[in-house]
Amino acid sequence: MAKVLNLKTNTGKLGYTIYEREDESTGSLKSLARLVPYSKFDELYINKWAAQFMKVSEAQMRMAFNALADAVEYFVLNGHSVTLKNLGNFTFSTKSGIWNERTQKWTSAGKENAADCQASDIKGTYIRIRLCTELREKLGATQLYCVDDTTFGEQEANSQAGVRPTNP
Amino acid sequence: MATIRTGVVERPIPGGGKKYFATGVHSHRIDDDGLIDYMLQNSQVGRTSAVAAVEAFKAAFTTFLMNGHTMQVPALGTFSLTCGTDTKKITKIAPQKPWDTDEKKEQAKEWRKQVQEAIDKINVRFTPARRMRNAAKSVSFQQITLDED
Repeated sequence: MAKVLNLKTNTGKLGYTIYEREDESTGSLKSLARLVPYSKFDELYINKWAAQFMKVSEAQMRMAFNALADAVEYFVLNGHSVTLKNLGNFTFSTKSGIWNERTQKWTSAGKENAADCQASDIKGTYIRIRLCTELREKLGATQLYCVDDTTFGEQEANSQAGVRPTNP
Repeated sequence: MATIRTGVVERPIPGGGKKYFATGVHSHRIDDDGLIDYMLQNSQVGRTSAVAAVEAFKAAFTTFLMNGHTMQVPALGTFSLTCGTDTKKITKIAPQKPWDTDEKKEQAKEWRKQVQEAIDKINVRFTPARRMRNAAKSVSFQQITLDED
């Protein structure tokens, strides 16, 4: 259990990788950056960590997280926003659109007249989180570094390309 | 089944001009206390555990997510960081690989510097847990006239 808290998570900077994608309108390649997560902490780990951090049992923490998720779901999907102090707010967003035969997806589309808009135009409901100003500013000020020339970057590129690490 | 009220908003569209869109309307803002009260009334958890879950969730954000990790919060879903790239700021193109000459290395350095400067809007991506995603799919909508509010 002690190992959970001893793990170093404070990296102080965010890693990114650069990739190129064809621009649909011009056909030329454009360069884009994508943040690379250092590690993925699964729900078992987070539950264990949270229980230890708040000094409650893991079972209690699991029940409390379930109740928290129920509460967020209830409020957000009934049209309210949930604002957590010093963190941000959970809100819903909707997408009203039309069926695109070419991409086989619903794409956002508006109407010329307000009177033509119907609730049935809405094709998707999404739950979003928006950080508070303080955390957004903190994230914006975080140092960035390109991982492309590092071993970590190579591993990330391989995993994106579907290349499995070979067993020596 | 959950119900969201909808209204109509005017938004700019790519390429210029404006169009009207049907959209959900937010009703009330629920704070920490409102959330905890709901948890106490609708589950078996006590106040200590409810407060612990909210505080642990906030602490996990700053410990894991803000340091570039992805975290999966039990029952809620997965949180990760994303960024946007302002491609208009990138005028240079990536040199053809391999970057084995000094000239190519210099070009690559300049290109990477431009891409880094074009990174903007670091955001949090939230992928709700499966149960929450399914609940979001079954939301019904009730049309209202915004002027009435």
